[in-house]
Amino acid sequence: MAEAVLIKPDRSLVRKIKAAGGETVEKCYQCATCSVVCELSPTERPFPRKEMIWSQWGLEDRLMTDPDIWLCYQCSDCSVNCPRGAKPGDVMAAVRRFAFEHFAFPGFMGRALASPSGLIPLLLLPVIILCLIVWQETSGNLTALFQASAVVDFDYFLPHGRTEMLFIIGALLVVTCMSISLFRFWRGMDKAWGAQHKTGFIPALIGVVFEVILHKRFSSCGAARYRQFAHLLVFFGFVFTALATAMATFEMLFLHKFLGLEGHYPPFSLLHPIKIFGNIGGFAIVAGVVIMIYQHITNSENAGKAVYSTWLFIWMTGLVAVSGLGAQFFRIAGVAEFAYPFYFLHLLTVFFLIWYAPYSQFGHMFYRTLAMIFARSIGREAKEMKPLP
Amino acid sequence: MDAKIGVYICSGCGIKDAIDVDALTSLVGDELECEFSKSDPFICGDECLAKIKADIESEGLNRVIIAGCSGRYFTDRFKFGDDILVDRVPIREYVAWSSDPESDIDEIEEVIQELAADYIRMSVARMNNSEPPTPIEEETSRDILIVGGGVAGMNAALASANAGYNVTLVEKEAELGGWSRKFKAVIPQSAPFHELETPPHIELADSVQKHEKIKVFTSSTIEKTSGQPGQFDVTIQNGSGGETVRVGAIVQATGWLPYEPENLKDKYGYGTFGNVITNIAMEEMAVNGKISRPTDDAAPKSIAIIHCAGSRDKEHLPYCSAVCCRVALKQALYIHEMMPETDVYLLYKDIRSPGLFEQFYEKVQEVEGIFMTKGEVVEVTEEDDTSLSITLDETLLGEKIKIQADMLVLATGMVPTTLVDEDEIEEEAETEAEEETPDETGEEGDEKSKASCAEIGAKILNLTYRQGTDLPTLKYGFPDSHFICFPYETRRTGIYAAGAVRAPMDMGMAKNDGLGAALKAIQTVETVSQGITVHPRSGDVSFPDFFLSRCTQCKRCTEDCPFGTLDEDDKGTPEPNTLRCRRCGICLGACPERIITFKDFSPNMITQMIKSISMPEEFDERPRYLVFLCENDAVPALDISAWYRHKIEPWVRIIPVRCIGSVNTVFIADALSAGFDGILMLGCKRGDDYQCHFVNGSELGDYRMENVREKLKQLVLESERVQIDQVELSDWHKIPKMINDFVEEVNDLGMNPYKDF
Ligand code: SF4
Ligand code: SF4
Ligand code: SF4
Ligand code: SF4
Repeated sequence: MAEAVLIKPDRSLVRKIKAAGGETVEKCYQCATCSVVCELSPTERPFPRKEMIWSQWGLEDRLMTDPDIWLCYQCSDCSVNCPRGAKPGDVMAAVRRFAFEHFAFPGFMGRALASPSGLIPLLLLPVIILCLIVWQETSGNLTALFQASAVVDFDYFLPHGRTEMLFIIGALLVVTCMSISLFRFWRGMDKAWGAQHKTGFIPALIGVVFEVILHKRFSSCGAARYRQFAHLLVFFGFVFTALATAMATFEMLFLHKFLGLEGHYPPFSLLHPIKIFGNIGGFAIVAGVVIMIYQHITNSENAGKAVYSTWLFIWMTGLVAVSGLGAQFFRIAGVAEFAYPFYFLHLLTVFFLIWYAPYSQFGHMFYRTLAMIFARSIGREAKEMKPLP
Repeated sequence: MDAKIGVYICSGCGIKDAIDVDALTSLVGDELECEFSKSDPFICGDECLAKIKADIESEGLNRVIIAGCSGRYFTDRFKFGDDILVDRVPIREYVAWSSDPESDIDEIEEVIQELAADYIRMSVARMNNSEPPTPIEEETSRDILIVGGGVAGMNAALASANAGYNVTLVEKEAELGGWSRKFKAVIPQSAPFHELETPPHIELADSVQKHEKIKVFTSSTIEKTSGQPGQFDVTIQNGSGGETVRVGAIVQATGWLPYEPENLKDKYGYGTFGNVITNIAMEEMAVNGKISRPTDDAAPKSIAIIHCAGSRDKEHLPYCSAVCCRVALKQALYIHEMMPETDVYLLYKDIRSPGLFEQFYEKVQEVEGIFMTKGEVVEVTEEDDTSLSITLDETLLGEKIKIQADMLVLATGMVPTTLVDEDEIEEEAETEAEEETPDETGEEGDEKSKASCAEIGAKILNLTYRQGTDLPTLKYGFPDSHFICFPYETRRTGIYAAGAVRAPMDMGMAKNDGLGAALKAIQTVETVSQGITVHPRSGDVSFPDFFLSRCTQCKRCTEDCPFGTLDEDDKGTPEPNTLRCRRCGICLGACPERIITFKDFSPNMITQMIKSISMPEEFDERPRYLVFLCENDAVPALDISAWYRHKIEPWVRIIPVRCIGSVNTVFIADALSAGFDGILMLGCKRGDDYQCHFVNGSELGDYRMENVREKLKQLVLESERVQIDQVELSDWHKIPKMINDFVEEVNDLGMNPYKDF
């Protein structure tokens, strides 16, 4: 017979989960209705019933090595059907929020993103850096920017080369930190699940990528259908803007700087593929975010509980898109008073999102993908749902 | 007094469509000796009732036969005074509604007519062989004795006293209150079921003590209870002297004891590890205001509570005590309130907090520091003096886990105070058996030792009954009664069980129990004062008469009576205590000498009824079957079946009886020699989960079948000709099939060869 495992409950984790949007967790009485209705849950060791009791006991090591918390898409089917109103969907989300904090490297970043008290310093960092650049570039002479005759020139205000540099350095840091966290996560899952990998990492990754692109899992959700659409908009919004950014980097760094070709430096024409991609992406994000906000306000039951970190992420995403589109609009319209602040805001939010990605809800992208790869590689598939006779 | 019988035959309700009512009416005069017979299309109508009353006056009738609907309808309309015996012949149910005129039986109309005529004949025989019963008139007491001053007992006392009855309350301990006095707090009893409540005894004891109609005896026990309902003489002993009071009824609310934790030594280390305690010990600590680890008196940082400790466990208490889960929740809550930093683990098999108590469970779930999981405790070990570790398997956490706790509380279950120590019984029975005369063998021997078990029983009431000193009990020691259908009932008339002695329950339920049992006690003192019986033949005035000069002292009646009515003298002759009697007729069914009779129900009466039934000769191919139907469930069930027009074979003649236990084997012998082809008895369910309204009547009926089979063998008859079966009221739709299948089965055997003798 298996050895008994010593269990020590942790009240402080229970408190944290409750504060992170899982305040209903104690209502659960383990009926497992949730695991039965969940379309994404596998038949073996299904979720979210077990996560509910782990959360009630505050069992950090179990929750944090559990791929299942990421296999949940918070469709709220379980929350709607839970006879006790324990909202397992919200609890799963709260546990995920805690995971950003738990895996954060360096740890203080995780804590900073988790509560409003961290917001000011987090904002100040990019603000100061950007201000410094602006100061240096304009030699403190901001009034020149706003002269009626001047064309709006972002490159003069915040040179693209500099921001690109910042972007690249930031990205490298982020990737390093994220990798450390993901490595820990993977190792934890491996240990906890004593897993025999049936599928290799790469095939599993390919499968997951397809799944993510098609948003397959969302389509099995019942209670919060709109989510698939909203998420799809935001997701592809980011994909498009990322493509635009990549193209722009290519043009600026390679064609312009390296090869010294003409006409490969911003501003690009509105008909340039970079602009087309960027604008489609921007509008898609705005549309997706509007739906999300609307749903969270009008349909909070099914949309899942929104807490500080949810709102922070939604608003930042929205701001990135709005400020980007705004900056472009006012630049073309020649309204410098608006164009520069919007551009400043745009860069600020971009950096906020990217630098802090591993610790904010943006990080779900990485953890979830990794968890899905893990699940795929150990053959942990969603149960096959047969329609009731 | 000679019977002067008037027969009234109703032709309404479809009766005249099935029966030639005029021909039936003319039976009287042609064949039957009655004053007259009349038919009416609407007997239950005022007009006809007035006519009947006028006939009674003018013709001097003292027997009235109403052939029409079942006696279960319009019972009160057909009462014409105490000295007029009325028989209701259900030709509507048994003939008109349940015979099938479309049947392919030859001359079916004539066959149905014969059936109707037989019911009239049987009724006339019945009337000619019975008398209007007269009630027993004796001086009775209306006072009520309550045994046990806990929550149930005090509520029973207050309820009875507030209803105007004098109450004597006997409590063994020095103070009133029972368990309530030993509890820190009790489970919430009112919405929203969130806050623990203060134990109820303080207020209760105060009102009891102040009540002018309640006399309280504390530190007292009952030395002896003799007599019968209305006339119980109870000797109360308080150590320094006895006092005898006369009461009319008794409520036994002696409560429960915790399951012996010593038995849990091996399973949970109780007694071995110092920090394993029971929920009772936890309660004591909490009452004293300090919860501490027994080994070193330090405040525990974690406490585990095991639910169902020894409950729902074949090795210990197989049943659920219904309250321990909520007690565990309660204790977790007050531990948290007293020491918020202490972790409490609730380790359960299932959490049972029925009904609105679910809200209490929900409340406790939300308290920080209370951790719950389902699981099977497989091991308890001691880490060191101050720490225990508990291993659980099959937990909701998905694996085998180990928990460390400073203290372990066992949520043990409830055992009724009526439980007798089984080892003690065995020992005692063995010594008794040695003393017994060797001729007491077989079933009777068993009965005997069962009775002696009760004698060495719980020794609470110390009854002077021949069948034992205390309430007969069921498997787990709870007083024998059908506790769903007839709560508070016991097998001692006029003595009612209330509170946790009756079934495991919490204080809220115990309170209701006290009220309910008080109502039953009041019912008893009122009815016995009028000489009539209580449940289930409520209001019956007839009672058994023993023609003792012909008694052979066989003791069957004294042993078989489910209610301990009969004591016996030195020679073994029964001594009836009629007020204890519930009029079931089981003694009548037992007596081989046929000397036990009721005025309106006697062996002779049944024999005459059987003889009155027409008996075609063998070549007529018209068989005859006799069905004895128990009046409690089978009779109403057949009424329902008839209402739905379910058909039964027209060869069947039905005799309703008080209980299948009241069917004497002599009736069967009579019927067989009269030429009946088969006899069927339909009674209530017997066995462990019996539904017999007279406890073991149905069981006895079955047992007596053994003798009948012997007789059949002697007569060289097939044993299938006599059968017994069980019906519940809800089986009404099965009754026709039971009867028809029986008829078919016996038809296949051929006719009773004794028919033509
Ligand atoms: S979360 Fe709700 S549905 Fe799921 S096990 Fe708990 S009580 Fe049942
Ligand atoms: S009440 Fe709960 S602890 Fe007690 S026996 Fe019943 S199920 Fe077990
Ligand atoms: S009628 Fe029933 S209760 Fe009465 S003495 Fe006979 S067996 Fe006992
Ligand atoms: S059963 Fe009949 S014969 Fe036997 S003891 Fe009772 S009264 Fe007497």
